[in-house]
Amino acid sequence: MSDDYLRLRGVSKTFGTPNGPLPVLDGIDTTIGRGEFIAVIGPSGCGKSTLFNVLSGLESPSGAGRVELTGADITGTVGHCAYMPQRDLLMPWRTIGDNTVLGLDVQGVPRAEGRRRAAGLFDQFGLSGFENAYPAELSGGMRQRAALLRTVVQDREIVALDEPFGALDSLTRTDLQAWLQGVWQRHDWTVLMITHDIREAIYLADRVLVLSPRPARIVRELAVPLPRPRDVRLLTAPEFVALEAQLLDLLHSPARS
Amino acid sequence: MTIRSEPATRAGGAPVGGAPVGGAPVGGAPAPRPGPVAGPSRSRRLLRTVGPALLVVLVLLVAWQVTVQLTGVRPQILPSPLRVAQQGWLNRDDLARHGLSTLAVTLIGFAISLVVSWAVAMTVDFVPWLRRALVPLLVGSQTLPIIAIAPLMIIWFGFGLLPKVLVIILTTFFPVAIGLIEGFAGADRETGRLLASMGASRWQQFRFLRLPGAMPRFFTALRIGITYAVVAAIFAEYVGATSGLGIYMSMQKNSFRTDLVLAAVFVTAVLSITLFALTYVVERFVCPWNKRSIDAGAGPRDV
Repeated sequence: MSDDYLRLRGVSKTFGTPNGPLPVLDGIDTTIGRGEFIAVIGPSGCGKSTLFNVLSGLESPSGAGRVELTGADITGTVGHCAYMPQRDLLMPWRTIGDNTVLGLDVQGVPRAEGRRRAAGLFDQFGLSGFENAYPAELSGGMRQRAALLRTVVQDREIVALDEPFGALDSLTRTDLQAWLQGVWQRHDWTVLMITHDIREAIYLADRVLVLSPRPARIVRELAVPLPRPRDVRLLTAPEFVALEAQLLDLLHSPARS
Repeated sequence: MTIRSEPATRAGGAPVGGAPVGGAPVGGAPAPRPGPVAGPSRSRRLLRTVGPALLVVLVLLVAWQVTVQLTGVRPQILPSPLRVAQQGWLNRDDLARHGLSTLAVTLIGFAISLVVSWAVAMTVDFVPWLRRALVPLLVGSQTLPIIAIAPLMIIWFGFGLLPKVLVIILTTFFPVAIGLIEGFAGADRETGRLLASMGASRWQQFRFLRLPGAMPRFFTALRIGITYAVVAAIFAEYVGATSGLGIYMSMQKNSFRTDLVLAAVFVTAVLSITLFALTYVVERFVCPWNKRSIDAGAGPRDV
């Protein structure tokens, strides 16, 4: 695990609005190692999604901020970061098989080759036999797994998940969290995951980045030194609860000060 | 009725009955495709779809027949439906010839109209400022009084195909083009951003998202357009033509053959309904996901 795989240097972003400039990100600085699982947590509307847009190259930071990948400047360029939004955004006119290779279609990978690459993942993602089903025929949890498959099969350097389980019921969410931990351990994905859920952050991540209310700064980087594989029973372990309490304090104190 | 209760075979060939697919979460199993022919249930479904309409038509026809017989009104004023059917059948060769002529004009005119509306809608989608420039013109084209324009078309372009095609284009271009323009523009923005993050070009975004996403609206517009096209063709023929149901009706009216005018109206209705129904067949082929989504009970159809 090299320590400066992905580096954000002084990333700020200010939007112009009719009511004057609106600063959203205020000097985000951090370094992420290859293969790390990072959770990003912060109050609603703090600018997490803007941070992801900058990361995936859809928006450029204001001023001198930079995004570097293994030392190279990738600010404002797409193609390094595979992005999974909160809504699955599966296209109703594509079968699950065709939906999962969307990113490869965009890259111009031939259909057969794309299908072959995706086929290797269908089993691990619990989607075998559903290649020819349409999204409307799948349950919410399966759709979310298909969306994740569509994300990782692009084979990008960074996997960015924007509240991937936010729209699911809590039982399905717990199942998928456990499952995600399992597949993440089998692959060497570098993951950044936005979440509102403190427990999800601690359960899944190696490190939790805590953002302040808008304009967002990193107020704390909290390492999660819990051993893997993590069991669901860990949620009630004293060390887990201690981390949870720390995060709760961090998230709720700055708003008052 | 659910499709699941019918014996069916999945694409892979494995028989799938009502039992859930092994190990898959309940509710997530894809609905098996309907079997090739499901005889009785299919005809029953057809009856349930068109039955009420047929019943209403039947009641109206009976009422009409009875009224004509009781009042003894002259057939030049109001012929009975039986007389219309009888005379229409005796003149079936004429009706068929003129009907085919109208069908040909309708299809040629509507095909050209479709090409023009696709070209304009795609151009507008790729060049946003053109939208503001062209859409008011499109709306304007719809306010043209066809009843005044059609005779001018005959004066300018004669009795041939061209004036009829132009009248059909003027009538049908607007609903189809607007349907397409709004269909393209209605694409999910977030999905657009997802494609952008994958590095999709403007053309790829169109091909992967905006084009398929516009299909439901396109088919709605197509259904409106095809019925307008038949009416427009007949109207253009009525004003002046060498053959077609429009000129046939005009001639029969002038010789007080009200029964044959109504027979021609009946042929027109059959033509319109057939073309209208055909759009559903085409839609089934172009958008197979709609049907299967409904079978899976996935909420309201996205139209």
